[in-house]
Formats: sequence, structure tokens, C-alpha cells
Amino acid sequence: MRKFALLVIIVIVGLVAGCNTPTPSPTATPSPTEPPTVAPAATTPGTVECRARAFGKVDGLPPVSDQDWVRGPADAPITLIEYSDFQ
Amino acid sequence: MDPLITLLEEAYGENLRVVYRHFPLTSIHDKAFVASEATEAAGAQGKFWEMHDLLFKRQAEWSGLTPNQFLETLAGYAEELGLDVERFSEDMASHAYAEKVQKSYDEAVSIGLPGTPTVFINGRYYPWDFSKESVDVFLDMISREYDGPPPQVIDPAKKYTATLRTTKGDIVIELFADQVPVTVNSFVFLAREGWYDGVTFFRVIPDFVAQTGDPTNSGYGSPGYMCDDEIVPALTYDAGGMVGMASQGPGTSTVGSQFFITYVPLPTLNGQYTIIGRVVEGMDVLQNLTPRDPSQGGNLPQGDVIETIVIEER
Repeated sequence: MRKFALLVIIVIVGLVAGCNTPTPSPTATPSPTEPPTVAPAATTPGTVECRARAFGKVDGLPPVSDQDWVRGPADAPITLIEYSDFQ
Repeated sequence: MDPLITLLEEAYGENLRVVYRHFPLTSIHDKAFVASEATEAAGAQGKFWEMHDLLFKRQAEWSGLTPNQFLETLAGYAEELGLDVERFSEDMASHAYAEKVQKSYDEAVSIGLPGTPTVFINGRYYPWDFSKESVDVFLDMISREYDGPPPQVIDPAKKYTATLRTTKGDIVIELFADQVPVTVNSFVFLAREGWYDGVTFFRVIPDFVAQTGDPTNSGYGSPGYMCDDEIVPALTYDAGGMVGMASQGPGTSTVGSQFFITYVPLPTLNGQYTIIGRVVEGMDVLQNLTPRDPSQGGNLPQGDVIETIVIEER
């Protein structure tokens, strides 16, 4: 799947569950091995849009609160939230 | 804490704040829930992080135990950390913090987290490894993003050329503003904003394509907005020098800032990736770009750089 993508951004849901995280290897290719099986449809003029799509933005992530276990300064420019278990 | 995150804490010092949230995968980790409860019970006595660190450190010691043995071991850890062991054991027996752990678990499930550990940095899902190098790239990437789509900056009735001033010389591209107005508008906007200044041809595959346009040079970078494909059947990859927009695949509406230039005819790409222009001058410069294939890993040669892109409007 990845090898057919020119660039991989991210899909938050539906990643394979597991304990490994992928490395940021730029993947890659407009694969020459996959010819289109049907003639590509032309884009209808006037329907093409650009829209905001921030990398890795997730709905429903609770902000850091006093219910959280926090290590490091409250005003640190970088906040890392880890969802994990101990086993 | 994942030991690698501990390394990040050392690397970033006072610039990093770490938040731990429970996501005990009980279906595959039989003692994970109890371990989370134990950190909460220790936390009630002011030693959450101490128990947290100890559990990670001694993981090999306890992960094979039966649940009852594990409780005994936990009591031992509580003693080692100077906790009130009686109170700790009572809290464990009464599952005083089970509800809190369960709430955190439910929250993780409702967000749709893929597994453990799942990490967010500055509110964004972070999919890479925990090296400082990768985190720096990530922070750089999200700091560059625009909040929304680009403003209208071109007049599709006019002619546009883009001159890529590279470290190997100039590549002049005729832009198809009349046929591909939305994508060319985005490209011109980014070029004029200086988005492409100093960006590397990070992926250069002879007889295929040279790809660039990602300020992080990682292949992941995007401008904070994405555009639909803008496919025009009359425009094809039937010649070298065609300029196409990279995406995650046809029909995914994931056109950002990355683009590629073909070295040779690549008709299999027809209809798959939006074409915005063609090289009218400087194919020799393109041919001279330093080959590098990030998918091969290892030590890649320094890539050639776009110093800036000059847009001319006529």
C-alpha cells in the first residue's frame, strides 16, 4: 500500500494495533507498475477545492488537566501526551 | 514511560512536558490494568512517577507472574518506594482507582487510538519514532502549516512561469494556470510565500522522477491544507519534464505542496497525479540533480536545493 503513495501523511484511525511505531521514512512512488485499468475521469472544472487539513489533528483529545499525571514545566513549549500501559 | 521518551526528556530538558495516560490493553496484557491501578495507588501517596518508572524498569521481573504473585510483588515495590504498604494494599484490594483507569481507557478507545504507546505532541498525533531528530522534524512541520486553504492569488487568464533557482542552475516551468487553476494557484501562493526556499530535492530517481516541495525533506510535509486532484485528460505524462503534484494516491484529495518532475515519459501516471506544468528550460539541470532514494535508507548524499522559486506573470 505504502509504496504506491507519493507521500504518506497519516491516518489516525485504523492503524495496525501494536507496540511499534513506524519511522518517518519518506515513502514513495508514483508506481509505474500499476497502470490504471480504466480511463481516468476528468475533474469537473469548478469542483476542485483546497481545505484545511492539519497533520495529525484528532477530534476528542482531552486537553491536559489537573486530572493528569504530568512531568516537566507547565509552560514548556513541547507537550507530549502518551497513552500507554506498563506491560 | 517508554525509555525512549525518557531520552527525549533528557534531550529537551525544560522545554518538554510529558503527560501519562492509562491505556491498558487488557486483551493482550493481562496485568496491565492492575499495573495502572498500582501507579494510581502510589500516586495517591505522591509517588505516581516513582511507581511508573519502577514498573517499566522491572517489567521483565513481573510480566510473567500470575495476578496474585503480581499483587505481592507490587506490595514489595510499594515498600521499596517508602509507601504506606497497608494503605497501598487496601487500595489495590478495593480497586479504589479502577474507575479512573477505566475512564482513561474508554477515552483512548473513543478517540480511536491504534495501540500502545500512542503519542501526541502539541495536540497532534505523532506517528514516528522517539528520536529527537524525528520529533524536531515533526515540530518544524506543524509550525509551518497554514490554517486554511490558500487565497486566490492568480488570474487564470494570465500566463505564469516558475523559475526554480537550484544549486545546480535554473529550471523554468510553464504553469498551466488556465487548465489547472486551483492547483497552480496553490503552487504560486506557496512559491511567493517562500515555502519552497531552501527545500531539497529529497527524492531523485533517475529515469523516473525528482521529487521536492517538502520543507522538512521527510516526504511527510504539507502546508496545512490539501487539495482535490485536478485532472485534465489533455495533460499527460507522455514526455519527460512534466511537473506533477505528489499525493497519497489518486482520488484521495491529498495534494499539498510536494511536487515531482518526470525524467522520462511515464504514461502509467496519466490521470493519477495532477499535472501543473512542464519544464521549458533546464532539463539538463534536472538531469544533473544528485540521485538519492530515501526508501533505500542509509547515508544519503546531500541533495540539491531550491534556493527560491521566482514566479513570473504575463
